[in-house]
Amino acid sequence: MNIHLQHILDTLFQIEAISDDQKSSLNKSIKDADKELTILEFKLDRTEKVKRTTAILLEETIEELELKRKAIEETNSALQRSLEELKATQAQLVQSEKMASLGELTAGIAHEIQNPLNFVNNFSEVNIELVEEAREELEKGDIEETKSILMDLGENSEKINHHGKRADAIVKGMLEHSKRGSGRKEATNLNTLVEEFLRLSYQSFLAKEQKFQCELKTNLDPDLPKVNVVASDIGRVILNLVNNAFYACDERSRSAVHQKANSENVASDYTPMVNVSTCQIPPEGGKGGYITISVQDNGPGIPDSIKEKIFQPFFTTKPTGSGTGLGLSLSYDIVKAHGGKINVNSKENEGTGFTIMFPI
Amino acid sequence: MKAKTITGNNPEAIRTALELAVNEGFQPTLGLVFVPSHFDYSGIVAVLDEHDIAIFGANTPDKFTDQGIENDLASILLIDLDPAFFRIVLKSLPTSDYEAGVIVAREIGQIGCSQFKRPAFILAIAQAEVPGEALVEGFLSGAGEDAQVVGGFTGGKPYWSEHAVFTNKEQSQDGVMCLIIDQDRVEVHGLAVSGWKAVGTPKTVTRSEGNWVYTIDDEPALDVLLRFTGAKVDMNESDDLLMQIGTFPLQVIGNEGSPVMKPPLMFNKETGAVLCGGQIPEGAKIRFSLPPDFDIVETVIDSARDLKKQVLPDADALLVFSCIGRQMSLGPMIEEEINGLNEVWKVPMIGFFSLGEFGATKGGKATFQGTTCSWVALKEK
Repeated sequence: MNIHLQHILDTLFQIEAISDDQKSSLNKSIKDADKELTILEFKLDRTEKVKRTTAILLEETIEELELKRKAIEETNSALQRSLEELKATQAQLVQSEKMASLGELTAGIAHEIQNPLNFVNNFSEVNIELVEEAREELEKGDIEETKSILMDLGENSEKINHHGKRADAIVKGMLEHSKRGSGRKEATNLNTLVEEFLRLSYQSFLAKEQKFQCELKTNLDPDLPKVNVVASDIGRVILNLVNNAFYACDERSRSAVHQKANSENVASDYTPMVNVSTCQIPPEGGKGGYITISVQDNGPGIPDSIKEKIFQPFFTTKPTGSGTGLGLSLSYDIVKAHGGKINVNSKENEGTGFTIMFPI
Repeated sequence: MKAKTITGNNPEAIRTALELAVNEGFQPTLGLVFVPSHFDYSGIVAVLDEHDIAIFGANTPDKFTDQGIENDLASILLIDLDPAFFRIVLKSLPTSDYEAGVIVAREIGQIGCSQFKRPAFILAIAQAEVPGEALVEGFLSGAGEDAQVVGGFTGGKPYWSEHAVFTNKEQSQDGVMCLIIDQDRVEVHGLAVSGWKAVGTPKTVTRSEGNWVYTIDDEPALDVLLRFTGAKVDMNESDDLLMQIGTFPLQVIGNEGSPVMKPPLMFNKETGAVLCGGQIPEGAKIRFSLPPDFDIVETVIDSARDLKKQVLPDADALLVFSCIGRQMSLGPMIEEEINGLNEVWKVPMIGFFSLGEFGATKGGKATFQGTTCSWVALKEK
């Protein structure tokens, strides 16, 4: 018992004036008080102990958290560096993809430039002869004939100039295509863009696969308004989709030939076909309008198992070295950057259709 | 079913108390006997044998009855339950190996199922180093996932190795003793309540074997414990760890349910390893914990009041297994907890302060924990 309470109890017990009942009652009260005091002492002691431990624990935990914070900071810096390296690598990859598509175009572009160059060469050779003829006529004094030759000479020069400008435009287009980064958005005639890249792509594909024959169909909406896009970027998208369509048709064509060779009874009636169309879908029912470009082929189609992966970077079904796996991924990014959508609809053994939709 | 507690400091005192009860018409058939660590219980066994009383006995230093906490006397809860409604099984478990623990417990679980359709298992374990989790796993695999498993590890400072569990004919210092009760005849209801609160950041146990934890976050476990708790431990007294930081058990964070409490019990100063009240597997996430607020005493008592109100308005006897860490953490208030539980049904009660408890937390199945007060009320149907 607490020494002071014990003293009080002892003293009270010595007082004769206090009855036994009162002493018994006082004894109980003092014992209860002692018990409460003991509990309070314990509570205070434990609270102090817990407080002390909590303070140490808190201090150690703060120190530990500080170390963890520093470790996270270092990891973060390392991640930041990795991210920058990744971005640089990505930029290089994008540029590589551009150059790869440019490479694919080379044959088509060469064909395109060869035509005007032939005209320039032919007409300039004719002009050399006409100059000689004019000189002879002048020496003869035949002014009328000289004038007639000069007129032909002028017309030929105009043709040379026209075809020179055409070659110039093709070269400029090629340079625009290979330019780094996206250009400015300009009101663009998508039909012209589609025709140009469809032709270039086909010429390029023919240069690689000389036996390839394909029925090209275009169904271009004559009333299509100009659309504000980065023409070179959208051109790359069209080129990519059309190239893939030719590739798919060529694959199916080879497969059909192979099948026929293996079985006399199977008739190979497969005709590759690529259909490119544009169309305008006006706003309706609260929904905004769209301008669409569709590229449809009748190739082997995309298996369901890989449909979800085709827009992933580096995913390709082409043999190693034949494709970067970035074409559709970049196309998706370009269309998205224009606020548009790109959808795919494919059935195995029937073909694949890609549709680009630009909001208007 | 009638029950009565008697105490005595020698066999003769027990004989006198027992005969007094018998003369009043009480015919006990079962005795739960808890005696101090150094107590020679053979005389008491002989007295109970004379009266054909089956013994569920243990040496254990800190114990109590409905008369209060009493560490120096032998305490016995006598029950007059039909011997057909219970069995007592004692199995020696000389190894601390986890699998061995599972096998022994499963065997007892299967014995229970072979004897009764719905057995309940009340345990006193003298093998301090076997993971309690192994025993629970064994009982649940042998008797079904919903089996009632209640009890505790006997012993405590400073007599780690000098305690035994015993029956009328057998005794073992590394034994697993089990009282199997037929729940079709006796209602067995209980709950395990803890109250410790997690603090600090989660840490990982990086090396452990059974109940020994060697490293935490690759640092010797003892260093981590002392650093984070600021405790001063007598390095020559291995079990001083329990006295100094038993109040701050480790909480093992599981994938689901309540965290499981594992109080540190002893250390090995050569290896820096710490023996915990239960297994902590490698890779387990742990946190330190602070003792509960003082109102935990009311929480424990309320858990019994709720059960009384909702399920068991009357009981015949009460068994309590309270963690030794609670005794240290609640000090003189532990008496309030024990007495408060006793006040709920006001029936004869016996229990001891344990080194790990078996029981079910609210809404859960039986588990093994530290820092809990695991109580169980019995009522013959």
